[in-house]
Amino acid sequence: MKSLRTALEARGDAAVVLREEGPASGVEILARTRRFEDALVSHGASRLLSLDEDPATLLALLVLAEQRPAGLILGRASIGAEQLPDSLEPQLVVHSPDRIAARALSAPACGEVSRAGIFLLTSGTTGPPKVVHQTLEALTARMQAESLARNRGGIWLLTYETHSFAGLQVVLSAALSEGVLVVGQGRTPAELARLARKYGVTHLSGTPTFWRSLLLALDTGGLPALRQITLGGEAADQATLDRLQRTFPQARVTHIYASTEAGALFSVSDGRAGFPAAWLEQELPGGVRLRIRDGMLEVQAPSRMRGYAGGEPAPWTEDGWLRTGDLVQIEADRVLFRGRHDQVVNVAGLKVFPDEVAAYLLAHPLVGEARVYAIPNPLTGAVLGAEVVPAAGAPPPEVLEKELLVWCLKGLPPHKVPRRFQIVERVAVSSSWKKTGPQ
Amino acid sequence: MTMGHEELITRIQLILNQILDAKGVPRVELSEDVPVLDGTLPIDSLDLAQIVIELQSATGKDPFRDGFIQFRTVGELARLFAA
Repeated sequence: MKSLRTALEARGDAAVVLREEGPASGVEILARTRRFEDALVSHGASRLLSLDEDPATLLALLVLAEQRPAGLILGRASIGAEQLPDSLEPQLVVHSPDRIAARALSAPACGEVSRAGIFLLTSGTTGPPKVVHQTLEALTARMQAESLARNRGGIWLLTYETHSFAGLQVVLSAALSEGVLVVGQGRTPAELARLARKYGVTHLSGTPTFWRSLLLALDTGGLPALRQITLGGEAADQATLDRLQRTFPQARVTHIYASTEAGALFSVSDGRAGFPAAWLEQELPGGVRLRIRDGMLEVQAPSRMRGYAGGEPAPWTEDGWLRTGDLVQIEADRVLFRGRHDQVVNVAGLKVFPDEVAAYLLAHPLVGEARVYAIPNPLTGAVLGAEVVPAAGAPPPEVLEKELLVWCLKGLPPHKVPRRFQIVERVAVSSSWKKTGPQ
Repeated sequence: MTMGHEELITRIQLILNQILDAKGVPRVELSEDVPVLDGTLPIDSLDLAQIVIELQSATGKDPFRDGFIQFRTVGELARLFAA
């Protein structure tokens, strides 16, 4: 495995990160590494919290973590430093390369956090943020020579938060394959589409929700020349995969299955939703194994986290598998994702997955985006409602609503049919480009 | 928005027709005394839930806030949402 330092050295004075405020070259990033290393050494410190979400700073710190045992805690503006567990006890706080503050500790460090590694915050879908203890080796485990060679020299656009698990994957992939990472200020799809065209972006990774927003925004202004399209963070539905391949016929369309806790597990590039059922019977690259228990996908992977920092129990089974929270079902030769276990809605005594119904709506050519949620009612416990963003060419709202009700009654069992449609301009999206809002 | 009894019956008729149209089922004429769920009408509890949800958003009222209230006929349903 090539080191991050080697890859940055290979870039030399050429840009690695392109930002509004100017490029950062490989040489500049390695100079930052030295600065951070000096600060660690002069304070006799080994644990560092970074609040600087500039990818150039992240790369500099990752090089540092590569060459000496250090605990690197990655803060996120979207989560807020005040939400960090006290147990993390960073000795240094990086606000920017020029502002590294020392912190007095109230007690000696103990347990998990005194160890080296990368500490990632995960906002999850519910509850307070968790701190996931990962290692650099695990984070780069799936970046094999073959994929690095295929992606070599790519121009990547960052759509994720830099310090999220997915953001780290993009930053590391771009740097290790000696590519360029484009970072914009704005995060609207229109702004990202503009950047993609301006810089000739070839590699773009985002959630399915992000991609649908981008497709809606691309209706004006032309297409970037994408070579690699990657979907992650949410289950990829067939309609979105099909639309992307139709819109970008020259691109390789890949959906990846990964989580902060499990690491990157596998990727699928055959154009179909879900993954081959045969994968349940074999060991996958990187030593990944998959199985289904009680309808839930469970995984074993060397790249999984060490655990949660702060004493939270890890979600392992007694025999050491990670329960993913994703409910799946086998259909013919395929394992398909139905939805998250905590998002099941009970309609008239029957279980329904809102995401499954959203995927059905997305298959309608006039639907650009759909969010399905539960509406409580006294007769059936709940029924489903749907927010729909119309695609180009859609008729007026009241006509589209009727059309969609007919479409759902035709193709879904009655309890899965949304009983209220709202035509909206956009659906609520989290800072990590996942659909949010009341269930 | 406050609706009178007759207006509510008309609204229920309208919502019901939309559901029946979408299902491709012939429309039916509603009146005060038609039972809602005994099979007289070609609807199930999910369709009725849809009618209730639309009445809730049309009137801004939630008569079931504190628990379920029995109703048998179209007229009784309308009275739950009346002023």
